[in-house]
Amino acid sequence: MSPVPTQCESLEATVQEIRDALRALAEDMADPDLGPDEKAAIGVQLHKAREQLQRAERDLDRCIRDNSPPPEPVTPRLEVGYVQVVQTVQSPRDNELRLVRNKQTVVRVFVSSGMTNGFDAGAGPNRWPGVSGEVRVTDPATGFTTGPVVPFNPGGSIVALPNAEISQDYTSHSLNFRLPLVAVSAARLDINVRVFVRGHENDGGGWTAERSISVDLLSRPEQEITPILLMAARLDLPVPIPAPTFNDFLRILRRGALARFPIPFFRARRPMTLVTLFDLRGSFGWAATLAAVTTAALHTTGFRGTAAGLVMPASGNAMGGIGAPRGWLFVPSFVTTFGADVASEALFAHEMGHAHGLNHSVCRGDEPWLHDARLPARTDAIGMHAEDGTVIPRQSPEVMSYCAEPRWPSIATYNLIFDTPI
Amino acid sequence: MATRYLTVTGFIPDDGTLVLDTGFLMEQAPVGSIADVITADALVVESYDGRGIVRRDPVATSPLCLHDVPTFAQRFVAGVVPFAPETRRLRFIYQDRVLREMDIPRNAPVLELTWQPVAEVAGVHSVRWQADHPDGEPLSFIVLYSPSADEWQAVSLTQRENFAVVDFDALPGGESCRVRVLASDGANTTAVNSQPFQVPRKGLRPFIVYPDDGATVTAGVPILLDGQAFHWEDPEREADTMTWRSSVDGQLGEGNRIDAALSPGLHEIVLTVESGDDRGEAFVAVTALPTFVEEA
Repeated sequence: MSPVPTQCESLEATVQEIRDALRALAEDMADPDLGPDEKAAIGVQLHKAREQLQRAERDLDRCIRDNSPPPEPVTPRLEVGYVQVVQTVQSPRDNELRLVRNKQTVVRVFVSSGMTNGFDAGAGPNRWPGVSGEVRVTDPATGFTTGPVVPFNPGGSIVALPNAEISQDYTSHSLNFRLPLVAVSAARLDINVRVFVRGHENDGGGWTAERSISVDLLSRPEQEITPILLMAARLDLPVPIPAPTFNDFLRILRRGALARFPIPFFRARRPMTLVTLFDLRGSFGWAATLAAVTTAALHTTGFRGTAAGLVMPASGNAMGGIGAPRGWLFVPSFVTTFGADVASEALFAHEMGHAHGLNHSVCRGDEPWLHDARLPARTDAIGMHAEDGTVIPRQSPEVMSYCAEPRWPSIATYNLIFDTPI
Repeated sequence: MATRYLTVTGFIPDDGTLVLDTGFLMEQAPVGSIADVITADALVVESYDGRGIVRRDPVATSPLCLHDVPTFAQRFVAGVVPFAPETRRLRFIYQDRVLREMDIPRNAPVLELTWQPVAEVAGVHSVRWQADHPDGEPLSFIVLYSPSADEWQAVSLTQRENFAVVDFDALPGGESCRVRVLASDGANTTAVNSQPFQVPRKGLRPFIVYPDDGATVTAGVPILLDGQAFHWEDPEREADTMTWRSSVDGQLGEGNRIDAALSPGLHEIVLTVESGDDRGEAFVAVTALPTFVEEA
């Protein structure tokens, strides 16, 4: 029998005291000279003592379990609990949301340590450090296999957590793999995941685990967009505010709209550099600029795609952007402000969401009419900025709202934009 | 007389007025710009001659998002309507309310382009004109540019000023290019064209969508190289070849989007695009840091 830990010795003594008392009571009860009332009194005491013993023994067992080293040998029991394939958002289970062919794709692999005995391998009880893995992707139509792909987590590994502690809302709770473009050009992907503790790549017995899933990728057309680079030059400005560059436009298009929407890529058309003389310090100037941009598009032969205006930021501007749900307008158009920050990128995506026909979701409470009853206030799916490799947790503000960042598409926005290509 | 079309763009603020960008007459309506059904959300444009209504046409409207500005129900208006030559008055109606009425002046603007192009035009020019209206009406202008006979593009927004700064280095070139100025009193539109002139052809314009210039990536891990190109003079032309090359690793691959694993170091990534006799290059600098360090 293993020795009782020091921390539990007082509990052991208590148990022994109660057992001794019980034994004494049992001897008393055996006395033939006892009257009925005395036997009844001892019986009550016996009952109480047995209850005390039960509680004391339970406390002692807990103490011994909590203060004893786990049984040897101690090894992980790695399990691949779930493999999530995500481009911008994905449902918590079963990869229910549609995926787009030829779009940047991340595979998230949730690995459980499989530990429950409290063993600490250096990363805390029931956790196992240094867990890495690799992914292979096969096109079942051709048999062509891509990989192995290695995870892009910092250091290339994670600490595997016990199953109950894993949350999909944290980037670090999964091994994350960015699939090469060649792997996501097929209609169907067979994805094989193999995880292992570093240094035990070829060991069995819980040091490694494996899982395979299949997902479909749907073809979706590219989206055309005409950059309209706007110089702000109202007449009282001492120096005009230069137009953003084409590269500025490409960056916010990619990081703002491409990262958030189920669009494989944008086809940027020949940019138009124009001058707005309207005063952007007032909402009138923004609306007038948007109207004038649309007039310019009407006068441009064969104008194609969305008319996406971009201005540089300026102090005193009344707002960051303006746009209108496409509806039955002849050309979707919007104007936003360039910025290399998350808010500017979300704003660009917000106005492009209007171009796809979406109205506002109500998160902050003062979003203007029309409100879009199809959209929730906050996200209901796991978001992933595939370029940055960061997770946008559930309950983040919906991209079509006015709430603060990080704004991201809900399942409804994702599906509506999927179904309404421009 | 062939039907002409009037642009109707603007917005309906919260106060129920109608703010219109100046309308210009155009010879052809862009595809999809004419709404054919009068819906409850349409702005209805009624055209009157001296005796009564001659046309009733819808223009599409849509809610307007002035981002982060709590407003109630501004609406955006955009489209064109057929314009009957006998029209003397326009009435704009939204949800049974007359928002605006506009009398059409009897005379058209008088316009003269004072900017005279040289034989070959390049760089930034201030295109100027003189304009007047016989009826004293205020005028607005828009400037268009054509690199070829059948293609026009706006090079200004609607404006009141009688000049526009045009950068011909940011426009497609051609042998017989023209500038056109439109002057409008809100309906009557006068157009003048410049003499034809040459603008240097620009050809292919490749660009790298990803990675950004100055980006840092992990060496040895495939990254997406994403490039595109447009042709200034022939927007529909596709690239024949798109080739990627690294100053460190040499040839990386062909195609508009490829995977490439870079070796450690500072790379100049060059995208070379060819189409027919045209060729263009775009480049970015990318630093590839060594792959993650194995844990002890």
